[in-house]
Amino acid sequence: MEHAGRSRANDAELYASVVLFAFAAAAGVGAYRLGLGSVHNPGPGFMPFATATLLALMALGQLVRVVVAPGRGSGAGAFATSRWGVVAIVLGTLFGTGVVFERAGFGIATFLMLVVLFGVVARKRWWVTLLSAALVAAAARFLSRALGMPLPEGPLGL
Amino acid sequence: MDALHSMMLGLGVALQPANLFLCFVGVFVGTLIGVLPGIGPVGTMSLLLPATFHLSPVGAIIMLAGIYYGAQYGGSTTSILVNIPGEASSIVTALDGYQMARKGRAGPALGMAALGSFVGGTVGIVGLMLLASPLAEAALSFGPPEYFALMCVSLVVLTFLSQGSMYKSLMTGLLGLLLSGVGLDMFTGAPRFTFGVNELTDGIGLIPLVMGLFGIGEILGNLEQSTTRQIYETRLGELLPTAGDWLAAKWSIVRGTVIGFFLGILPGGGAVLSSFVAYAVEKRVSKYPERFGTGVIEGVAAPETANNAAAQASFIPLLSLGIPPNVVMAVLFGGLLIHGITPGPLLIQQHPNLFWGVVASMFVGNVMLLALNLPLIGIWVRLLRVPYDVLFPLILFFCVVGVYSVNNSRVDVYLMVAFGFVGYLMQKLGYAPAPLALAYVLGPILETALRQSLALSAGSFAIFFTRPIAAASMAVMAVLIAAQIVSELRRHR
Repeated sequence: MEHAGRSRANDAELYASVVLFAFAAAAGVGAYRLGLGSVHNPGPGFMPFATATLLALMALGQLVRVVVAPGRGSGAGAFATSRWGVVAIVLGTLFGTGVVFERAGFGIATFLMLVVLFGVVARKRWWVTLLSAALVAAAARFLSRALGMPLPEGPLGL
Repeated sequence: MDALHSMMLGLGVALQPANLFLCFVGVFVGTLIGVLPGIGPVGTMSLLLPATFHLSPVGAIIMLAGIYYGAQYGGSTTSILVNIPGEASSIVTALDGYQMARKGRAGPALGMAALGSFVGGTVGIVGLMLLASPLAEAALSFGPPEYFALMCVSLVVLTFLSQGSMYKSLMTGLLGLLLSGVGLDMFTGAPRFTFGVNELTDGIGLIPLVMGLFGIGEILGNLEQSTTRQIYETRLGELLPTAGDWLAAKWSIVRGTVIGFFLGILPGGGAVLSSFVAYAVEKRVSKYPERFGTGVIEGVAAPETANNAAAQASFIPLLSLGIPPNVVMAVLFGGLLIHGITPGPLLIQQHPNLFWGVVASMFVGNVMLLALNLPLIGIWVRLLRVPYDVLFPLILFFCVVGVYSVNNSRVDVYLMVAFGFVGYLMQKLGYAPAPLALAYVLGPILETALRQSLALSAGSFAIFFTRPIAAASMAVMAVLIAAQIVSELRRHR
């Protein structure tokens, strides 16, 4: 069991190093294309290229370390307690709110967001969910109008 | 005499009714978020930054600063009464504070935390008054090489002092520098990594980045923990520590103040680190170290004094050098820029009202906090009963509205969500987010200083090693990195 946990932790460290390396490599290529300029007159890609190169080398070092000396990572059991469903719902809801914010209007978008968060994630009773979401969204709408905040109103004027 | 005259000027600003009100709002919100686990001063300050757009710069900074030092006061309440630190800087307070509460001594623990915080905070402000001006005058002679070297050393010290692996912290710092490069190049105007998205030409916003990493990321982490809270009640009459408590804690308060003040000035220091160091020192010098963790008053007095002294002292490098020593100061740095004020050596000369007004407001704020945290403790305790599953949807709601309202941009909401996921993964994998955020803020200044230095020296890197301040900073950086490499090698043997 302990071995399996350590292996999962190493996998997570491994993936993190690979992702960081890939990100740095892509940024390095992008920076190179921007133009490095010269040392006495650095171009727009100079600093990002230097940073990306250093990051790529460090990520590579981390990758080698995880492969050569497994079990030394600090992420032992890192994701053992993860509730990926909850993470996906919360992030998806926030992203969805961003998508509908301007089309549906502030009031409707935030009401829907709160319904998901209170009802699905916090698992409140349906009437508590609807009432809380409606009250918070309405109070916020009232306040934003009172303060003159230019928030989108949508087709229903909410 | 000059300082006294300036202080009078500051008091005149701080005592204006509008600023007094904003100071109260700041320390009240600070105490509130300090008490409530799940949202810290970084997230709250970012959230409220858009709300300050209509305020005067002085009022805005007074309020934002109040949130930071107010959170240090409030954080201890949950540590002592529920064993859940409201703030990271109050983690060690829980060790002895909660044990005192279990023994029926919650009152003296809370009282000592509040009074110790007051002492630490007040001494920190005096230090800020006395040190900031001379430091700013000295910094006027700094050129791009000195700034480049100082910022490099700040980032390395931050990664050195961050919790967890320094290697990982350096990587997140580099990631922050890379992200700071997004947007138009300030020398040529060429778009960098904008991928045709108009909203990215101004770069990635500080607020979506910070709200995502520290707000959303933390909430996602908290949703995985289920906590049962047993709150130890106390009465006002029981709040004052006894004479014996004062006698036992007097040197802890002195040591905590000194440690907090100096670690607060240091890049990467701040309230969290100072509270840990103060507790460790207290345990080391104690005649009965074995009793630490069982409910000794020194274990509450030292970290609570230190975190407040550090919170005030961390304003010194920001206001005198223009270098934020920690993430909270980085957010404040962003706030000053939004209000058209460039933090740096000229700030005190050009905006004396702002500098001295903010300093004076800290004195006023500390007195307000004492009143908020002692007589009103019952209200904060009641707040602790609000379940987290009611709080988190509201916090997320404010995050979305706050981030959107900065630029009325959906892209900022998407960025916040993306950084929220990154923050969650970083938390899980032991990558500290603070170096990323600080490097992100320092990135543009660092790049400007590097490119100006290289232009000055006709492309010679020797410029960083031939000027005394730059060379000394580079030497400190080299020593820190070497020390870390040696320690890593020893650990692996």
